[in-house]
Amino acid sequence: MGKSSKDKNDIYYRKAKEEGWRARSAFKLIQIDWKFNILENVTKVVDLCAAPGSWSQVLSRKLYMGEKIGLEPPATPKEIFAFSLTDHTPTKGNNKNVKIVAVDLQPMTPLPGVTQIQGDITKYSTAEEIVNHLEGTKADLVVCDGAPDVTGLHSMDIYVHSQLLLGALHIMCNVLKSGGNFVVKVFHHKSNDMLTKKLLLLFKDVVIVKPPSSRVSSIEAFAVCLNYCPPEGFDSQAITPFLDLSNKNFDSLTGISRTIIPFLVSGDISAWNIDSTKVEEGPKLKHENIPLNPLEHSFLAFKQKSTEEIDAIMKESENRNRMSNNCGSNTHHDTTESSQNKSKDCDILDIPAYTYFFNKQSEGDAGFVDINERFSNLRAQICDEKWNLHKKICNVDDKTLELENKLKKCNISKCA
Amino acid sequence: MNNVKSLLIRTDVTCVKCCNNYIFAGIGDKLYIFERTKNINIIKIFDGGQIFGIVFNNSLTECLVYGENKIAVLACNFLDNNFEIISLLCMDDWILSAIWIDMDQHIVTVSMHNIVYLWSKDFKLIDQKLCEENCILYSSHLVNVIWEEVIVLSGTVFSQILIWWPYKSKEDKRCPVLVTLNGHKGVIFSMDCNQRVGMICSTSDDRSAIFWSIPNKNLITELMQPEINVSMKCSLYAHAARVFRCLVLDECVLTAGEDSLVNVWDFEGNLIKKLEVHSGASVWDLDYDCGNGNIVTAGGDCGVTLLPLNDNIEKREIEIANNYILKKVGTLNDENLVGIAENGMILHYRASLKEWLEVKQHNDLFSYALLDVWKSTNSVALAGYHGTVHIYNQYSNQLIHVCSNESANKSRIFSLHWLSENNILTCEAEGVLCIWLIKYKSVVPEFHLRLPPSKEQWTTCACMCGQKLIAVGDRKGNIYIYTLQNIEPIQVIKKAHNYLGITNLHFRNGYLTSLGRNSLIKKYKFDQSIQQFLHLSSDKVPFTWTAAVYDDDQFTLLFAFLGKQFVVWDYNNRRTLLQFDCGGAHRSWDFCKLTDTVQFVFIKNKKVCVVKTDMNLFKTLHVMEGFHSSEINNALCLKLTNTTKYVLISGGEDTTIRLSEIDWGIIPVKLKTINIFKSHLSSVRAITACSIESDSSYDRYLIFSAGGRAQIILWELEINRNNNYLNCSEKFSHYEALSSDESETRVMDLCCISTTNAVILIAASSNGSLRIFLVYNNENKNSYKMSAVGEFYFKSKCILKIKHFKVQNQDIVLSCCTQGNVTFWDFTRFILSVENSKNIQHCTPKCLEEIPTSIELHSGGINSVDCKIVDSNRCLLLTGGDDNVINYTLISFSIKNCKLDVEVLSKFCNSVLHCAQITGVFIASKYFFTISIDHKLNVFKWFLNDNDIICEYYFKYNSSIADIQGMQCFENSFGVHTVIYGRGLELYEVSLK
Repeated sequence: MGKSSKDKNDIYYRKAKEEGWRARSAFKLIQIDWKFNILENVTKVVDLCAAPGSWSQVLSRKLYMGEKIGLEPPATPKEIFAFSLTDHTPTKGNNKNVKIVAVDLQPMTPLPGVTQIQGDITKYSTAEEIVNHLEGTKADLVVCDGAPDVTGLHSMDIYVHSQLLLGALHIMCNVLKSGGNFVVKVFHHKSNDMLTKKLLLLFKDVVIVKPPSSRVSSIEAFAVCLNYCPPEGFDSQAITPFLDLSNKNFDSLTGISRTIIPFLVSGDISAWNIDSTKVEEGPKLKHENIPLNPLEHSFLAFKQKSTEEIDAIMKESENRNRMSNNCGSNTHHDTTESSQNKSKDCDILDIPAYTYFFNKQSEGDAGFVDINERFSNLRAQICDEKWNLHKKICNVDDKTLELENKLKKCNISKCA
Repeated sequence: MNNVKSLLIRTDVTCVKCCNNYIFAGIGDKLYIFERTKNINIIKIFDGGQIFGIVFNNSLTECLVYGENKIAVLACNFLDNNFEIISLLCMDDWILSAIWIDMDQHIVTVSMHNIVYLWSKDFKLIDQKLCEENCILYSSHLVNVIWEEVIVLSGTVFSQILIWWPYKSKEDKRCPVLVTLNGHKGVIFSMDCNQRVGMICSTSDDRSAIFWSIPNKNLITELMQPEINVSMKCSLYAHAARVFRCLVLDECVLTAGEDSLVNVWDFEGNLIKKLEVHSGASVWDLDYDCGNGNIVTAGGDCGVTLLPLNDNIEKREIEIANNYILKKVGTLNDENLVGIAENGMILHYRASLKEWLEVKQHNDLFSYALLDVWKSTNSVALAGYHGTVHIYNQYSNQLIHVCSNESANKSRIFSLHWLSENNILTCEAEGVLCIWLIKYKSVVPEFHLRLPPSKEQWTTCACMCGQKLIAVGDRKGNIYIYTLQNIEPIQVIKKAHNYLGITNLHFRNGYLTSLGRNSLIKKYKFDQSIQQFLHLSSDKVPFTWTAAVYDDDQFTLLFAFLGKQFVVWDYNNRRTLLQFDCGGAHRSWDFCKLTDTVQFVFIKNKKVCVVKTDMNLFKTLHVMEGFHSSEINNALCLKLTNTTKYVLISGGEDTTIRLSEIDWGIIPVKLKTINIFKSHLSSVRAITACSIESDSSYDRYLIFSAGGRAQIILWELEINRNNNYLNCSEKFSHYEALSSDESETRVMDLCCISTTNAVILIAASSNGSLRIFLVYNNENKNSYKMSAVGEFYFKSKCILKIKHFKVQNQDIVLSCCTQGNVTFWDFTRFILSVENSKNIQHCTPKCLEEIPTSIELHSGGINSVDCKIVDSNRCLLLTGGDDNVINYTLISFSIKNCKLDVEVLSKFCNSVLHCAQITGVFIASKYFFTISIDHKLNVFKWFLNDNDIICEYYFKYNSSIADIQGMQCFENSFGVHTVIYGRGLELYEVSLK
């Protein structure tokens, strides 16, 4: 996509040429794997929007041919140059257990161990075909590096990409085994949080990463979705009829699918609202920003720390919170700022306002990870103490009185 | 919440429409309405969403405005310029096109999934038709204005064009595709159909445009045929990049694309001409106003331009009688020509009679002659091999010999230049320059000057600079400045251009412009106090061989050679106006601006060719002036004293530095470009400024700009306090070429600290080092020297931002790197040593070699930082990073064991309010602002309770600027003025209670 002169100066472009990759994007998958080990113990993989096939090539070389492809940890300060393939030599014998299926509308040059399907990811038949090739089982990993032909106008590119993503999501839901992982290209934009919410409905954890080989100037990033666990009763086949956005009659859906599919397809959350029984007909004004869904995660915390570390931090914080609650100073909580939040029409669509209170960090605090969102259960426990806390602060300063009054109001409305 | 008021926006203009001498342009989420070139109204249509189409109804009382998934009806009253949104609809799917049908009673829209919707005027859905093919469309076009006859052209992601007829579908059945047009090899970006000429044009990602013919002209008639025969007529490649738009007019077809060209074609597919607009940025949309024959284009450089479709260019060859072989030719100011033939015969061409006249044969001009014309008086000077000079003058259509003379030593005259009406300058062997005075029908040597010795010791051009100074350019690229009294030059500008020489010198309004054969145009200004010309700027143009400049109050034209082509280039708008084959640069050529035409004359294949064009060609009208053609990486606003004006210095990926003026006082806020500098080799990433010696009449600043290839340029900005006149000039450029195997680093941010003796400049570079420079006055007052004094590493991670502040009497520079650390460097001792040093060249920042203090705040790079001093030892630090986290930290500083100690007292952090990198932060009193690539401006309230930071989320605002790179804020009594930059620029007024 970039200008040719830029490409030639690009170190990944040169590296890709040197090491025989079809495109420099191969390094993105290698770098994601280096961080998340998504290719570990994987035998069945699906590559969506595969052409020209650099990701399939990585899969083929690493899984089928058994090459050890990895990155060396940075050794020198100029670490951008420090990665390289640790081992090029193929181990003897190919791993026949490995099944790699590459799907694209366009044909691509064959790769060892890769089965190609020329198919449309918006059609359910493609998913069936993939499962056939995987001999009736489901995939351990689905990857998708597909991007539309970009125009340079971000809003349009992002929209077209979101449609492509929907197609990829549709295939993924139908071919990924429970507990499997999914890596997909996303564009940074204003409704990213919405996308994360969608993915979090289906996965235990979602991390958005930008590998170093991805150009800083591009808005691309990758969503690494770990541990597929769709809600019970979710019918993944039921998505297909809604892919073209013309069908807005979700009445055929039942159970959890009725709630999830409209949200996945168009961000429609009418079914979330338990009080509302009738679904409005026809198009309606819709806010861009969809609220946080019940599952709150912090992928950022994950980005930095291992799960064990986070657990340790959480435990410590829990203790700290408990302690400070007793002395009534350290806590954090949400308040929705307007009092209109009773009316169900619009307020759940607005981003809730946050007020946090922090005080002096204890010595040797384990860093500054934002793991607040992980404390949703913790919050419930400390909620009772909020009121006491506010009463204390209210006496502090005249200037802050206004703010405090507002907070009080919010709390009252919440309590009520 | 109406806390934020957008005052000015400059970003991609995504659509444009002409109507009634009015121009409507969609810029970001706003609709700009211009009456001719005057902006009469700005209406915010969608919240943060871009506008992609404007469609008027038949009676011009209402118009549809659509973009992304929203569509609105705007009531238009042209009599009292009242425009108002009357209804707005938000769909689930992207709207690709919309039209009014059924006598303006209904509206049809096409969505990205190839679905057609029929709406009433108040957006009640009447009908919805699905096509059997429901793949993603990149474009669609609707033909006809009655529902029964509406035909849809759909341009798919699979490079096909589908033609279908929604009305013809049976109940509940998907509509069949009647015709599929195959031919493109990429997604279809636009289509247009003109049934009067029976043609469809389509443009695509594959850089081509295709003309499709409809044999029956009318699409309905054609579709009713048993065998539909819409077929490809021709496939056209003339764009160097993707083609975004097309328009089929009644006499020609226009296509426009990413290469900033508008191509004009006839229906057979012949390229009639190329129009260059929007200085290298994409052309997003175009429209044609048949009322005045103007094309309106909207571009990625934030500009809206009006250009005439038709111009009158006349090219002809002039036969020469009697087989004379012309060696040199010149044009006079009345279309007449003058030439000198091989055999020394002077020929005069009279345009009115269309004939050549033999004037006189000079034997001394046999086989070698020089000719130059002084246009205003139609004086012709000739010189020859034996030192002879002849002057002719044209009186009442007759070329008359005035006088002749010869030089003392009869030396060959190497070059001849008119200096003024009465003076010519000749260059003889061994660099003897002679200025001749023409007076009372005689020409006599008046002054002699000496050209310093060089290998090719002759002049290539000369001009008078005011009354007393003469500038002369030589074959080796040097410029010499002479006074009439002094035989030796008073100033030598060595290597002003490269070894191929100076091609032209031009003096106007106190500025000297020099041209060369190295793509550069340099400007100089004479400084009376030191009696020298000072270099102001170097501008790089896309031609290596620049030949001449013409400027008057209206336009500045640059003439240049590009291979075999001669190019006339609009210097101010940076676009090619006229380009024709002349055979190359080594020939005799001349031009002259006549009253309403411009005439070029040149000799090609021993023939005299004349190209004439009317001034229409040069009349580009900027409805809205362009701005940066790609992302703005950094912008710096300086407030002028005593006015509401600000100076804006911006730099970006397009490698230019722009100097603009913003008048914030009167609504609508205006942005005026003062100057554009193209001195940087690569993108500009950082700009900083520091104030120097201001006096009662001038405010002066040193501006530093830096970016790719580790280049740092120092500018001096002078602001006249009385008339706010700005003068900015380049003073120093720091660039170290590296050997080929090293990769060049990039300067990511700059920060400067002003001391009494020198300015300390700190550059943060992408290899993780802080480079420290000292900037001080050279011996003479007007030049500066910048010397590197040290380079310091800490952790070797790319540094993204640096900032200087003072707390506890310590000068601290903080640096933020890609690892998420904030590092504090103690500059106190170094600054002290610079302040006290007698010889600043020898100051070295030894004290910085100690390991600095560092705190970890983010898990990714820190893109933005702001700090606020609370009291003697506490400071608030606001950072935003690649990890989408906002950190607001209270820090205390202390000195322990002579070392700076930093302690984090409390911290507020939030990771959910932004969903992309945070690129700008600002701390105001009681509030703080954050801005991110996700288009959101978030505002928080904060206060300190002892050592606790207490923050509350206040509100958010959606900006329509994409790829936001940063912001600058000014706090004042009512709130905050904010400048946001990225893919464009937007100014806000944020009122805070």
